[in-house]
Amino acid sequence: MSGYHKRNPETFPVNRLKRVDRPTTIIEDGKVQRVKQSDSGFNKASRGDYGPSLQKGRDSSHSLAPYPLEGAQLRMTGMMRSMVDGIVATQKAPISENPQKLSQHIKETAYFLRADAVGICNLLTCPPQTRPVIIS
Amino acid sequence: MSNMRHYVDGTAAKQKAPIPDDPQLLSRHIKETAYFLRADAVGICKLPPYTVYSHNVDGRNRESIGFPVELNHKYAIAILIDQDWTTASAFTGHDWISNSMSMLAYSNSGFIAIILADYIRRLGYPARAHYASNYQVVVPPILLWSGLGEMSRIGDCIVNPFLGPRFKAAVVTTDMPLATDKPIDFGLQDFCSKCKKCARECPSGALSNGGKEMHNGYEKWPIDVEKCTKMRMGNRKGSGCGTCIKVCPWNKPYTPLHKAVGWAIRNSSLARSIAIQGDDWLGYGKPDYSKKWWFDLADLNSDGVYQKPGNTKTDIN
Repeated sequence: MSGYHKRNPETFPVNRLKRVDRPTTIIEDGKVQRVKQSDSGFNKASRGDYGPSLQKGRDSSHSLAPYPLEGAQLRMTGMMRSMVDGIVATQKAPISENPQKLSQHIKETAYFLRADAVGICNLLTCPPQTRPVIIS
Repeated sequence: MSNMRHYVDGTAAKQKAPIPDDPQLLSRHIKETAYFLRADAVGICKLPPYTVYSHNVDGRNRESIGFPVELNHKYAIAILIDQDWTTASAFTGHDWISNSMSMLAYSNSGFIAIILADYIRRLGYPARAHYASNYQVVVPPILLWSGLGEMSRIGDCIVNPFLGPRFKAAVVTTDMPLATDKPIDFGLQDFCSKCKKCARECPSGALSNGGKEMHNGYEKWPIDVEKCTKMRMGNRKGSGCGTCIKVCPWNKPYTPLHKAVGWAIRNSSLARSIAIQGDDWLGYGKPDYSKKWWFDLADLNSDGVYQKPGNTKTDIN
């Protein structure tokens, strides 16, 4: 076995944790309904649902923040929002199709990029969409 | 990175924030803010006017000599980001991950510099970020004056006493009144005059075995820029080249052992001579493939199709 297979690339001792089949709180897979992101607290506040003062405080222009460092960081994260997706290469790269190897590679790439912790799960099958999702 | 390059400058707030104007306190605060944003090392100096480019290159039109640069800021804040010890110990110095290590540190230091410059402008002082996609300053002399390293045998590269040459830097220039750091002496001039490992290992023969020379008013070991550039841009068996970074004995992790050795070689010429021999005896500078995590892939025909290159050393693919 090569060092690649023996070594533990994780930052924290996650291999010593007890692994279970399901999260320790109940999730009723068949019953959970998809929700609108606009129902989140921050989005409700910016629509004025929680009163005019909070609506002003969460101006969507990203330039008005109550704290200067936060403002600079908001501007940067706002700039990044147009870069989350793109077109897939027409041809797959000649790399392993072994999910174990691919998972380890993706985690090690994320750690190289200075992530502190990385985990992977199935994106569970969702009930049919009620309306199309438009990615802008 | 291309999006980020437009974010380096802006207008300072009309009114200064009600913060102390004590330069010591402001320098401490700026450094701690940079560390909060995950910088690995920070230093501050006066901006030497000769470090400002006379012209800087337009990234979209590299054939032109660019535009005249006007930059009159008083201070420079330099931010270092580590290029990753694990990867540095695993690669040959010139295989497919080499440029990614540079870009890791360029993008992270640029990210921090852009936020830090914006923050300083919000406090009411002009500030501009300078990073790999958009510099108006020459970085190495700023690193010398801000106490982040000494000039090394690796041509124009600065070596830091804790990261070695395994870092990239971004800079924020500003008029915020700051206390400056002093340059450092950790014995590198003696070390580099004895060691010569980078010159021995450089695949292109760009680095010199000889002594320092004067170039444009700077005392430095000479580098054949054409050979170095041809290796890095023309490398067909890897992406770029950082062999000098790889083999430099100062490229080490920050462990208790290396802290102790580092203390000794910063303070003793004899320890430096022993360390130079010991670095080779212990096998440092050779690739440790057991740590390799990346796939070897190459778009050899520039058509967006990645192929497995012929020189793959492990079975990770």
